[in-house]
Amino acid sequence: MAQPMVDVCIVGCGAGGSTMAMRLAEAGLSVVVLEAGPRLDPYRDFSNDRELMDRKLTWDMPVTFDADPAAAVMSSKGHTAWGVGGGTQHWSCAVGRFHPTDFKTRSTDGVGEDWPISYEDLAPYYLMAERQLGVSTPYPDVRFPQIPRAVNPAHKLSYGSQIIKRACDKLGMVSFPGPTAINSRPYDGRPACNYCGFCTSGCMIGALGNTALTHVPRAEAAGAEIRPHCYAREITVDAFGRAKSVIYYDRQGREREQAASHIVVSCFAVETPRLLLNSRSSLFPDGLANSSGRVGKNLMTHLTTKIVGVFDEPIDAFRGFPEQNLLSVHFYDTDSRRGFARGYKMTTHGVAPMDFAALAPTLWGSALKHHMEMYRYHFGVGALGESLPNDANTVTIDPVVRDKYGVPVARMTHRPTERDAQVRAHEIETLTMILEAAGASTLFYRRGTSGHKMGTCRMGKDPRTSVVDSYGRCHDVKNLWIADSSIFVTGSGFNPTLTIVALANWVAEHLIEAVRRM
Amino acid sequence: MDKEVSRRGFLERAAVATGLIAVVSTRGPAAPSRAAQGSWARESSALLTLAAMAAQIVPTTETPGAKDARVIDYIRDHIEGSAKMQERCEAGVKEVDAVSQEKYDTPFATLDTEKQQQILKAMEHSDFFRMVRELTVRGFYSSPVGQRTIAFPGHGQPHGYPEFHEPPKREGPPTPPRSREPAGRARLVVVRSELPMEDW
Repeated sequence: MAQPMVDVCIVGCGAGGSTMAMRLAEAGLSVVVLEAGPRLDPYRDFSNDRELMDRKLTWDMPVTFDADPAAAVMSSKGHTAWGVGGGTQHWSCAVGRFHPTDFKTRSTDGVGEDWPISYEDLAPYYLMAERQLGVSTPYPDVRFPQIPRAVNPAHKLSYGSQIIKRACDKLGMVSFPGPTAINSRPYDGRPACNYCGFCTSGCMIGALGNTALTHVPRAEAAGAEIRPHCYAREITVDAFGRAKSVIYYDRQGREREQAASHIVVSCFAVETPRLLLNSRSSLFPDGLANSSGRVGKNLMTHLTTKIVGVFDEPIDAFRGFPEQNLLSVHFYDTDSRRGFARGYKMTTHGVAPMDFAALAPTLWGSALKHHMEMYRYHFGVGALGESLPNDANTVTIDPVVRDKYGVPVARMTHRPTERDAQVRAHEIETLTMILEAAGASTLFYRRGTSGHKMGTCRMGKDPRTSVVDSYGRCHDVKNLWIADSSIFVTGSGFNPTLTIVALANWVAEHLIEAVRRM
Repeated sequence: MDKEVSRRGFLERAAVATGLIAVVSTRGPAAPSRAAQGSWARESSALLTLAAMAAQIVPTTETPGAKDARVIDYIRDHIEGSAKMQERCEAGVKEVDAVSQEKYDTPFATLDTEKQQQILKAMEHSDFFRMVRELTVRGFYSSPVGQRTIAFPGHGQPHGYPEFHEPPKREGPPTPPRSREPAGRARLVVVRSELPMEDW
């Protein structure tokens, strides 16, 4: 059943899709957004109940994982919830502009690849993203002293973060309040954070950068139509190889078709290549926009380590937002003495009771209770490290498994490298040193994985080695654009969302220009 | 507080994670029709065994335990949602009671604490025990009773913690952990588990 044609059809209403919808609609284009998940209203539907929110959010991303679980550094499941807002419904809100060298790892350190754009290209878009999400940063920002102002002032340091800061000072590691997409004061019609600590199960007071609240209302006010429960199956092309329409299943499971002059794919670094690879035609036998063969290649994640320390005094770490209240980039840029290129950020963390229980996964009886009774006394530090591009890590189409509609699912293949192991070992050493200096008596380390996924439809100038150009436009299909973390060339050591929103603003402006020139 | 280990369907993942496969009971036919009818409210003997297990997994000590928090209700709610889980629990419970019957000629739930702990210790690496442990721990520490034992207030709204930058002012349980070793080094516990914490 065909829907009336629109200027732009966007697939996926997460960080990237919401931003595209807002910018394009505000530029006067007619926009439809197809979102596979539901539309939840944080003010009405969210609550400070992890069990309940775990059931309420939609984790239906179908995916298989080809990896050795004993060695995996990447999480085996779709990490972001479906729904309007996508992963921003439940993210920790840790943000950070990539460093200038993050865009030039090859020219700077001889590893990875250079992006076709620079930090200077993206700097104005980072500021846009920070304004749109309400990011609070220290001012001046030691990493970017040239930034003329902070959008919102930095938060105070929690009691636990202060303890860690003193340890970092003792060790000669510069640390400072971490940038975060959490309101440090009332902003944009939404309240200031009151430090309940439930960000990652969904903020029920609207105090953080959930794009369902920061971008989508503006998109709708400008005329965009958001369609939840609409699951895209494939993108069709016309006889000239231009993208024509999105075939999708609506809430009742009926097949529908949405035609558009331009199509934007922003449904996550796993589902985006999946959609393209499943969109075969005689003009694109290897998948849509895949003449380079690079759709699905270069699947990247982050190297995450967390260590939880137990102190001699109560800290009540559940107070305050759980991640990056304090940040250090002391180990971020390359130091060849470490034996590997690039590095990692260090941040503070508080954990929820069940995560503290998971640090003693085999205990039971009174031993378990004694372990849990240390909960008040815990505080944690973590590292997020860069993992370099690797063609062996891919998203492909699973040869066997299909979803409930009969559509083949994505299959992730990911193998950590020796460098990954070196980075993680260094992270453990650093975090141990910090917690000891802070006075922790017992440290718990359990190997973890990261849910961040990036790089599977990367940007580049050369159509033979990249999927999209410097503006997120597919080399092969001039009216097809990608605006999520799939287009990242390298992963940096920072959380992806701020850069996704910055890039989506950048891509949107170029799409608008392309439409106006037509 | 970081994202929890579990997401929706954690039971399935926990079952997969522990390699739990459907254990076919040797004591009688599988009862898919009963499971399909959601018979757990009526299957009182299985519930008694599970409740007894839960009471050992998080015992009542100087502070309340799984029994006081009625964690069996939480466990039952979770199992009732899945026919597969019901089958696995029925099979697992049958095994536990079979061991008890063989050793002491009486069902597990009637044994004294020491004997129950002995039996559970012998099976603590089994997939079924790990599943029940996970359910019990989750049910207890997400309950108000359980959260009180670790001085965790649970929900934080509408007041939040505006004083989060100050040391905690509240007194009360639990008792402080032991101070660090005289040598001044912290004790690093490397938690060994065949699976990492997902999305950690």
